[in-house]
Amino acid sequence: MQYSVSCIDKHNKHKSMTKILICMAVGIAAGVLIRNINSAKKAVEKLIDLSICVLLFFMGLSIGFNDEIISNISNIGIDALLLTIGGILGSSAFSYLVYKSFYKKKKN
Amino acid sequence: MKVGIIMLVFLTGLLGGVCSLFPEYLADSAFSTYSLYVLMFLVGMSIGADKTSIDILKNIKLEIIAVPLAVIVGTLAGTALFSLFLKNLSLKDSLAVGAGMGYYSLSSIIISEIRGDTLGSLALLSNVMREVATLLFSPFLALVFGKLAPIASGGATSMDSTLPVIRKVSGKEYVLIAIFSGTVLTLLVPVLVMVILELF
Repeated sequence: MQYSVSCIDKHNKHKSMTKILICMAVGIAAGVLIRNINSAKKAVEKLIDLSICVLLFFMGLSIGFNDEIISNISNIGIDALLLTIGGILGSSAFSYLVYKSFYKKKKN
Repeated sequence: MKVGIIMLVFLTGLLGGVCSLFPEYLADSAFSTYSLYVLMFLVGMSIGADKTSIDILKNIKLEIIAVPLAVIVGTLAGTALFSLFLKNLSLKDSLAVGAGMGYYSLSSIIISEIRGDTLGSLALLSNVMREVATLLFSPFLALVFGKLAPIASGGATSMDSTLPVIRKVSGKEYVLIAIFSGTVLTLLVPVLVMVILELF
């Protein structure tokens, strides 16, 4: 019934998060340099798809080896579903406020 | 990228792990950490190279920018509320999952790397469900919550995979708003997920 979210060492966490943000910031600067080169922009999109595939494969592999996740997959799925319902209802409710304030009168 | 390809690659890895088709050290290697650094560099590049991200900054009209803002605030509020029912998840972990806004590939990879595979797999499931639920229930959501609701429900996917449904349900005058909101959220998801995991 119970599963626990494994906690990664706080020191490591900081390190990887800072590095991720640095990678992104350097990437944005590099991206500005290639903004007029269409072939480079296409290559970047292809490489993003490729690295997402590589990472999801390794994530799948690592989850597959993790008996705690596999044996708790239905509990994890139920919690995932509840968070999804919360997110959809919450965002829809707030979007109604925007709809009522700005869109409803104009469109009708 | 097509959901089918992404799921196929993920499931191949998953089956490979469950059936021990690959050596276990592959899953523990630092390779995926470095791949994530490369991915985030590339994501940064695509943001920097995208001319529309500058247009977005020039386009700050309240009624337009209010849509993605409402999606973020509403998603986090709803996720926080529903996290009260979950025994196994802290508020922080629940918010990080919600902050994926349907962008399941990138958000689950980042969460996996920072908080571990359990929350990563939960984030993958939850954000795939958000996309599927938007495709299935948009007509109902629009009926109850108005025509912006399918865009809100779609989150970061409202610019691509759920756009056809949004167009059909809300009408073509909402297509540009959907693209705008989806683009803003796609840019913000990685930062938002990391800020939530960092701040608490």
